[in-house]
Amino acid sequence: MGAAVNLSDIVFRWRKSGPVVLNIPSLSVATGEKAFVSGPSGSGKTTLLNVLGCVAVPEEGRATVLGESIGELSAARRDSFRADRIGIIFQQFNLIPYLSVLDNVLLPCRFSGLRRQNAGGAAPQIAARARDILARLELPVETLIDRPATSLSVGQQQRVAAARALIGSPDLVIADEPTSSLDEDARKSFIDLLFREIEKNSQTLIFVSHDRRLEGMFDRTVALDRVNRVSPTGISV
Amino acid sequence: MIPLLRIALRSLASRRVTVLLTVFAIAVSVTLLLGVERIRTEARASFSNTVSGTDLIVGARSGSVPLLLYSVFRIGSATNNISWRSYQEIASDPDVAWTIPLSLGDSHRGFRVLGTNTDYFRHFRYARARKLEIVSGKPFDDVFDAVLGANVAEKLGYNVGDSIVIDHGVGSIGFASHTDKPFRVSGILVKTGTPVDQTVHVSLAGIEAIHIDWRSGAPVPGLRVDADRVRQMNLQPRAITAFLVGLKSRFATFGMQRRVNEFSKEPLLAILPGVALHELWSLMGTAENALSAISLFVVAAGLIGMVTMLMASLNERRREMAILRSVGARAYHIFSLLVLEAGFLSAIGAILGVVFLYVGLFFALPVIEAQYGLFIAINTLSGNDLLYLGAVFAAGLLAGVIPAFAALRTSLADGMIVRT
Repeated sequence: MGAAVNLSDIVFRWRKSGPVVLNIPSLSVATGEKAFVSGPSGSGKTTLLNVLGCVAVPEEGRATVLGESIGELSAARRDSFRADRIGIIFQQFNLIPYLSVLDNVLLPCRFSGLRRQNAGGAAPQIAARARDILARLELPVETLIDRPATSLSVGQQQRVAAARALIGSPDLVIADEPTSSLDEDARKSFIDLLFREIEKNSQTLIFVSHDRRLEGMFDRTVALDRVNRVSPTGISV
Repeated sequence: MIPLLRIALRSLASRRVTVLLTVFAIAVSVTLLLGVERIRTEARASFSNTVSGTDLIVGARSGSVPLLLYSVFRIGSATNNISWRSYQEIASDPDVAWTIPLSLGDSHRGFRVLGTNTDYFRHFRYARARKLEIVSGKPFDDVFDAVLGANVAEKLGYNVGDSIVIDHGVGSIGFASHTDKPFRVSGILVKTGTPVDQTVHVSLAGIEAIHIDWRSGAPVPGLRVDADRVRQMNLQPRAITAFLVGLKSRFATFGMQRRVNEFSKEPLLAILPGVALHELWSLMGTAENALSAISLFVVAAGLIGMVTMLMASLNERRREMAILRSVGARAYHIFSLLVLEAGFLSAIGAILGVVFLYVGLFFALPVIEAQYGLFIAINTLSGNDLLYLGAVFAAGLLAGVIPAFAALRTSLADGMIVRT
């Protein structure tokens, strides 16, 4: 098995005239690995996630995600590639407030035929799959599945977001500080449950956080402030 | 599976107050648009239905539109009368099949009183070829008999046999009343949806009788002729206001019109009702066009309000768009979402506008009928209406492109993560 993610000599700016935000000579994450990406704020974590999520394309260098060189894909192809192969969990406000818990979990199946197929294909099957994942993430499925997403506690919302990232078994799961709004116990159990699902499906996990207390739980740590040769002020070093 | 439309609907539902107000604004504008069209077409139909089968209308020389208005629609007043002798002379023309004399100038509690003869009931036609019918009682045969239009009887609660007093003049409050010579209701007409419904019909002799002891619009002091004595007197009118002419042959119309217009003993005017109506339309055309233009601008304002609402919501929806992008929504999904929302708002606005129109018509019709004598039928939507509704929907979709592009741009710039 090769690398799930491989970046070499990438340079990224949000705007043509803007500062360089990422300058990464080399970064790779192996398939099936659970990688912890650490770095203080301003070290380019958010931008890196946009690159890994195939939303942002580096202006220089080669970024390969799950075997695809993303610079060579059209915008539409990158969108469908992301929809099919990548699950994403954000820091907070992960859920569409006006949709129910179930509808939120099923959103990736709405936009990706592949993930819909992986989750069982027909509507009753994928709904059953969603309930299944929510239950394995230890959520009280029956009481909250039809409730609006915003009526849940933050901890519950993060687990629903995890279920959404996991449904349809995308090859790569990216988590952006998913535990930062959780307390100590919730944080631990959230990561344990996430690991359990990731391992079960042999998915790759890239977990971004500034909280280095968590890094011991992961296979490997990538210190972004060391890998990225751009200082927080945006000047290359 | 949840379709994009459902996401759009849920999103709108979560902003229901602003959404409802926006829909309401569009609905009101659509109601105005359809209402103006409706009143315009119905008014024309109603006007055209008012006089049928009449070849010429003859009155004292003035304009053709005023003559049409006062003789048929009971709007305004004649500036001059026609002498009885001239009327007799024209009525005896060999081309003339029938005439209906009209004598106006008095009223009863705001309703116009029309002096005429029984030819009115025999020859007058409305709504293409319909005859006047009496729902109860019979046409007048006594000097002091009156036949009421349907609305007069209904509004004032009169039945056959009731006694009414005619006021002098046409204001809603008469300056003076002919209290000494009351009339008796002899018959009530079927509803026609024309100004006939608002008219009190009496015989020419009746008009003459109530004015026999009057000069220059006031009772002559000391001269009092009571109702019984007046019957013995000569009640031949000296003048009438106008008369309707039916010809034996349509081909004689223009010849007859010329003979009347060139009548040497008195300046007279003969008009063709259709031509005069046409003239009336062209007079009203400017006002109608102005109304249509205004209603189109109001629709535009409604749609601009919708665009404003959608644009204003975009900033607080940046995260929503980012989440959708992160779960795999393509750029065109974001674009379509906004266009769908705009399309849905304008469609609901249009539908609600139609509902408002019918509710409005239901409540306004009795008022319009009573106030203006305009009878507006509650019809189904015409092809033209559907065209307008389709245009509003299409314009709404098109307007949705503006916020859709804005959302697309922000969303592409934001990516999956909103950097604040």
